[in-house]
Amino acid sequence: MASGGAVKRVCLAYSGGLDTSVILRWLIEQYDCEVVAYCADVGQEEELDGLPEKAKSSGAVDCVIRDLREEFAREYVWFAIRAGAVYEGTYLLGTALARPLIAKHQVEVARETGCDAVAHGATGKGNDQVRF
Amino acid sequence: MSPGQSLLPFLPAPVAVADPEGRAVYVNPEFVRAFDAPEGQVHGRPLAKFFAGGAREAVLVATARVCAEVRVVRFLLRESDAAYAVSAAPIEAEGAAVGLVFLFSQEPTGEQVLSFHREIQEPIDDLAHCLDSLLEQTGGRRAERFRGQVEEGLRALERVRKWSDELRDFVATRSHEPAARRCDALELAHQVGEAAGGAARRTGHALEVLIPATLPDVSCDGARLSAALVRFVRDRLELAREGSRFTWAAKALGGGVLLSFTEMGSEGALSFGTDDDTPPAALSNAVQAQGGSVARVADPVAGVTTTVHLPGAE
Repeated sequence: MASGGAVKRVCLAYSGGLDTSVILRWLIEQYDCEVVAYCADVGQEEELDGLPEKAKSSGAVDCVIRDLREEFAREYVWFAIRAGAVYEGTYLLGTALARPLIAKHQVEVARETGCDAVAHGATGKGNDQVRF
Repeated sequence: MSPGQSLLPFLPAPVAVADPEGRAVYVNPEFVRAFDAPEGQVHGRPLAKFFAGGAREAVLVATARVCAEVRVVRFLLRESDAAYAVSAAPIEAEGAAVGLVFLFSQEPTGEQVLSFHREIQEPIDDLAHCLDSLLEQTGGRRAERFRGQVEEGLRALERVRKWSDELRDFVATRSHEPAARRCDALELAHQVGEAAGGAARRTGHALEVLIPATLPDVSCDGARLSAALVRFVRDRLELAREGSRFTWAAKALGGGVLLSFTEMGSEGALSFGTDDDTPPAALSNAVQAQGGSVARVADPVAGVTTTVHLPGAE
């Protein structure tokens, strides 16, 4: 969150799932701020259907979907494949690999949309907040 | 999720998805480009038919193994001038392979050569160790002749090592972009001459250095070219038989500079065979990358002369 002063506009990494839908409403109510929903397209396809409508119906002032498929495939997935990066012999790390890319573009979107804070739904229990 | 709409089109490597019978379900644009697959006529075609000879056989065998064993199979495939490390992975459902994904990862030639270079060092070291041991144990009346043979073997081995290093350097030089710039040819000639002088003193070979008082500037990356030339003359001096004679010379020619290195064996015999008139690959590559040219002439009387012509600086 922005340091000093009240938060006016937050860029939320938004998936349309339960967690981030709740967070979206919570941000508005807690901070009395605007929320820009941001979603990265890293190949998840059907999960993006109807996302802008869903975000706006939850109270977002805008919903930005960034197509990051090419950057993700070329700059992240490909190197992981070349390195044979398979966690504990089974897990292909797709989620973990995408996180830094999502965060990088989230900051860009935040700047472009005039936000003074960013937020995500990574919980304190797992390692997702570390990834972000 | 259909493969055509996911991340596969963006991967910078050929990818193919096939059914358990080995018929193509999807190929990405990189596959179409790399293997000349006719766009729009891929679906349902046996994947192996995109390849010929041994490559086709390898794809067929991998398909059968992946489906039978439901595990990833890796193999090497050569198609045209390219080599690929291929991973064939099953698409699993309830313990059976319902499809396969082939990922073709092109093997950079440079990496392969460097890998070979590393591999070859071990037997060279072992052989050198064996020959050194033999040399230490040599005694008795036939010792002289035996020692001579072992020493000859050690020299031959050293040449193998040098050529192996040259191959590695060749790859390393190719991987850099040429960076031609103005270079003081006189300084370059003296640098190489001094390095050759040091090697001649160490090895006891005779060396004549003929460098004029002035030379025109040339168009090249002096540091890179100096390194290649120094390595070249040192190698030749260190590998030469006892009593060999050398000449390092430079002169202005056609607006540029001609550098030459001549090798003569003792009493006029050549240090190296006259049939070897191919310039060393690492040197050629370094010089050509700077816009220069290399030639080598082997003559029973005049010796082996390697010349490097560098164009004048504009």
